[in-house]
Amino acid sequence: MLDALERALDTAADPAEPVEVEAEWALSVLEVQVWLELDHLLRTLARLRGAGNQAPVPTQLLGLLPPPPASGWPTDFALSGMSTQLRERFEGARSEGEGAAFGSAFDFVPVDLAHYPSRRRAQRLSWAVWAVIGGEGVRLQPLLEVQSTSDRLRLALRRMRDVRQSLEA
Amino acid sequence: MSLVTLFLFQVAAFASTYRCTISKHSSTRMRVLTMTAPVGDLFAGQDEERNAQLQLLRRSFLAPTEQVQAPPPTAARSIGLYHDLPSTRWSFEILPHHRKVLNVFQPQYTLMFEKLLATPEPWLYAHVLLPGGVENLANPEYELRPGTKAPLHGTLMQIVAVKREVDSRLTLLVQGLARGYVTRSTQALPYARMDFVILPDDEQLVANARRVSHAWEAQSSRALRRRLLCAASAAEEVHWRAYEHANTTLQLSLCQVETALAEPTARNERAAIDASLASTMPSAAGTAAATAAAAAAEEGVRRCWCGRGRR
Repeated sequence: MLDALERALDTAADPAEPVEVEAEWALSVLEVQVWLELDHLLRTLARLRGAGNQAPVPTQLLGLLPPPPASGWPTDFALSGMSTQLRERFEGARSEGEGAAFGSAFDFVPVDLAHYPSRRRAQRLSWAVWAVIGGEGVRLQPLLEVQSTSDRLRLALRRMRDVRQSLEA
Repeated sequence: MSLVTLFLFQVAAFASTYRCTISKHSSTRMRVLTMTAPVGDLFAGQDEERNAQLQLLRRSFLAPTEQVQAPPPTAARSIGLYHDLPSTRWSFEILPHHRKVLNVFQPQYTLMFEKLLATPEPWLYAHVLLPGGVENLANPEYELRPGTKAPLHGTLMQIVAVKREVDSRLTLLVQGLARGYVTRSTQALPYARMDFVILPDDEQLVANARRVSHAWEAQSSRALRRRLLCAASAAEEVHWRAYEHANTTLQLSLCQVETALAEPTARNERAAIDASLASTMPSAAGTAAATAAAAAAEEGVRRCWCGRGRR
């Protein structure tokens, strides 16, 4: 803890260190990678289940989908379309005035992209994604011991790639 | 079972939500739940006056006495340190932003949660993995201190919903709030208690270190700046809690956000962190600044809630 505090204070005091904007950009790149890998994994699952079958959509998690990256989402990125549909449904219900607690009717409640800080959104994803990719036999303790959101997102990426490669083997 | 089936099972288990039979008060901010039992007294547990008397008796029995009650932990809490927090140590992890339904049947944990529920909200506790589970609670190899086999990183938890079962078991819906670390064990048995500090991620620390440096660098020592950094990060964590851990449903395996709170929470974040920083400063100037910043934060929150009420 002390090390982390000292490191943070040194980083903040050193004008040569990357500014916050750069750090947040790096985090957002990792965040996008996680979404792309998750999409790839779910499509792989759907393909392996055979024609006409779809992998379950992690609706609770989709509320954390960030805005598209500068180059846009890839054309085969299925989660974007699903998220858009869910968001429209959600906004529709909201505009019909179901009140402040209307979220209780939905698994999908999107984070407010305009007001919720992207750093906190990435941090939340780094925990929440394990509801989908964790499971029996997966040790979660290392996630509590890594010190940064970036490292936890990297662990998620590695886990998803391992699972996908096992599925495809 | 193939790997595909296994993984699909995991995804499907996440996608489908579990069901709770707990009924909830109308207020979304309220975390106390109606407790009903299928059998009980002559009125099948529905005699509200009797239930209230029983609740009072239970609280008076379980609540800490004045003699042993700790002073309000404001100063420690402001830097993210929770003194003498009750703790569960089971053979599984619970991550921040995740929710879990607990079936509490072990006597020591029934006692622990009943004592916690007899105190005012929020009902916070820590959860730390214990390999082997309860059987290792008394095992010296798993004592909560550095150098043993016991993991010391865990999760700050909050009880969201409670149901008392007729056989004295408790069904609890709990959610993980933040990552943390055991700094000191204060009790080992019958259940663990500990000093527990929340651990912000590096990215959060760096962002707040800039805030601290900009505002206080000229006036503070390195040690004080470390303390201010803890305070700023803890304040950020607590400030976003109502938004990130809304209690709008009992049916999800992940915490849900409170949509209406996004804008006011973002708007008041700076004031909340400034208030925390100012109150952490030991000087008279710090006290004056704390008062001003706290007033600004309170005003922001007041405006936010008044605004919500009018809609």
